[in-house]
Amino acid sequence: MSPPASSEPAAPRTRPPGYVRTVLVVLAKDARTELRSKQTIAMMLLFGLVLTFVYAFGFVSDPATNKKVMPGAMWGALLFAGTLGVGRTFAREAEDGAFGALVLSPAERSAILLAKIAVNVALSTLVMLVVVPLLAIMLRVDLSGCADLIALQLFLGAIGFAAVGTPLAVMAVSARFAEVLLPIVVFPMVTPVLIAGVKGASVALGTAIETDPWPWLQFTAAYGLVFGAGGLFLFERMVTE
Amino acid sequence: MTGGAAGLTVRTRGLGRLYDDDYALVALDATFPAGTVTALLGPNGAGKSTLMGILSTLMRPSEGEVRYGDVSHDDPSARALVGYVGHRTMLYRPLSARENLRFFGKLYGVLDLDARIEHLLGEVGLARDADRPAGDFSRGMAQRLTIARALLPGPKLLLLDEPLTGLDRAGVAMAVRLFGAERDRGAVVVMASHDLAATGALADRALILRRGRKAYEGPVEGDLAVLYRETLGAEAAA
Amino acid sequence: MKAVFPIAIALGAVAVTAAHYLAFVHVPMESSMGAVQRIFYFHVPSAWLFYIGCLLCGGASLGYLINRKARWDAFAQAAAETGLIFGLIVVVTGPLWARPVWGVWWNWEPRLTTMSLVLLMFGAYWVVRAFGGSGPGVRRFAAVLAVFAVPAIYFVRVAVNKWGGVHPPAGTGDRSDAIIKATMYNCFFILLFVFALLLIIRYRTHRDALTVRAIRRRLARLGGI
Repeated sequence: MSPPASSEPAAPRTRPPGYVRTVLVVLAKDARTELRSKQTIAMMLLFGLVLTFVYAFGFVSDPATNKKVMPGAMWGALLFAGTLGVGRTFAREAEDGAFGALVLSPAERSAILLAKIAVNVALSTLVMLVVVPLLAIMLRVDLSGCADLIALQLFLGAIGFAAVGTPLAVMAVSARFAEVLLPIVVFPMVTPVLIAGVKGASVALGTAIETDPWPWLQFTAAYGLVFGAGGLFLFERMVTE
Repeated sequence: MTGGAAGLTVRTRGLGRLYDDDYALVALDATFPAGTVTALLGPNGAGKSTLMGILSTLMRPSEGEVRYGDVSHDDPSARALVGYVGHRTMLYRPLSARENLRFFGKLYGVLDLDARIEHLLGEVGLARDADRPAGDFSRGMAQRLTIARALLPGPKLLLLDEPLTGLDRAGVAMAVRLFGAERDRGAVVVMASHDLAATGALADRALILRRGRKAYEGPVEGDLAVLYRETLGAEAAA
Repeated sequence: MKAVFPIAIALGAVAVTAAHYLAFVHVPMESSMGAVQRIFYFHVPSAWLFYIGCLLCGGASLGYLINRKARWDAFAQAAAETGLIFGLIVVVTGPLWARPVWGVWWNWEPRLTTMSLVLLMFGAYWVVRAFGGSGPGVRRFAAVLAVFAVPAIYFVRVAVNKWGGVHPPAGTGDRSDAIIKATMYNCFFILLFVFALLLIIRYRTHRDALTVRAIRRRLARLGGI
């Protein structure tokens, strides 16, 4: 029998990472995984493109109507593609139970959720960067005057959506029919984001009676803040049995 | 040996866990001394997985307490002390073996990480496959990587739940040697496995559970399988 | 204890009959809407009870996440189910009233919209409980869902109110005299009694299911089945 001869230290010294470092490490891991497999982003993008055509065939009409349809099409795409995204990012964690190892590590558990929310926001943002201009072209809506406002709205909406969708997607993994249950569960919960987004975009595009889009933006931000904070606070309770 | 800080003793006091409306584990007092391998045995449903779950901090006890040296189970720093090999490989398939280890090493804040990783890859015999994605690995190779991941931060408590799954004869020998080395450096090792021969080769002590209660706790002298049968009688078959 | 329950159920039946008497005979005809207004004596208390069920479910779910006692989860499930029954009463009686008064089955009245969205949320909760399995992971999933749903009710209400813009004239009217109000409250307390009975029955069912599962596991451990 050969002794475990080695020059390496038998017990390495460790210093568990801080909160921000944990977020960054998990983010970097997800980015690397995604860049390698391109699974989630490819599916989301393709789904977003398909949706663009569905909306185009379903709603293309005269310019005035198109302008009214645009907000709903954008926000619908965000919700549908986003649901696909949150489901996929966790399917990978669940695949071989790696999420268990993540949670067992000394890293702050809520930092893991924060990183996961950030990943989902990033994925949704990427998809919207492609889908929204494409929708604008197909529906022949000129967004140049309010692109910054609409982008900000969608970004805040993506945060709100991910704040609710991410923890629910984590939890859904252990349920049967998780892929079907997730949208059923998430959509009613995020209708406030949808309502605020569609309304805010209509205001920005000038098709609403109101003229001030900021209350809607604030509302969306508040939604993301409340559910983000609530999720981070409860996450420890969610992942332990 | 450098950095091999004195091990700590893991104790459970009055540990109980409700599942549904029934106890899966009842008032368990057990001690796992540093530098020992404890074989955790019992029929299906005896509470092994529950005890493993609680010791790993993934499950909360309904009653009682676990102490890792001076650290209580609800102290987040307890997690840094535990290494865990479970039923599943807990790996990321798109990442290579080395990347998997590097990721978990960073989460544990292992210093001198690269040297540690190379060392462990050599120990588990994956040095040549270190840059292949874990998804391409056979079950046996994945299990070797899983063991390396658990050993990475030099855990004070090493929990092994069926750690020999998928390993061939050489793999089992390697695992037994590595787990023995962990004990020798002062770690507490708790091992649950159906392979009584391999477990018996390692175990100094045994904790046998029956219906959520302790049936035996003490040293293993002689054959582990005999001890198991004598303790549980007819139930040993289950 | 055994004798109390049948008596309570009989009492509930009598009380519900009394509620019908109050709503359809005792209270005078509301002048602007006529007979159809009488549906309110069931519609409005049912809506309150639905929300009470949602809050109870959310509260018990939060408790379950903290203390992990399966009975809290059983109570949460029972509260959601009982609440949903009353939610169904609301969405059935609503259009029955709306059709003659507004001339349409559905309109985007804020309270109605809010109600239907919350109903969807807890409908989703029910679907998870009914089809998602019954392991501890699913229970935590459902609990998180219910805990999230409570603040979501508030956000939905705010969003829908802002979205709807101007309220259509409220149905009950402020001219309602004392007797209309009193009848409304009486009906509420009668339905509350029924709600409590259903909740207890449902809770006991779930609790007994837990016991049965525990016994099954014990038997399995003994090698029986």
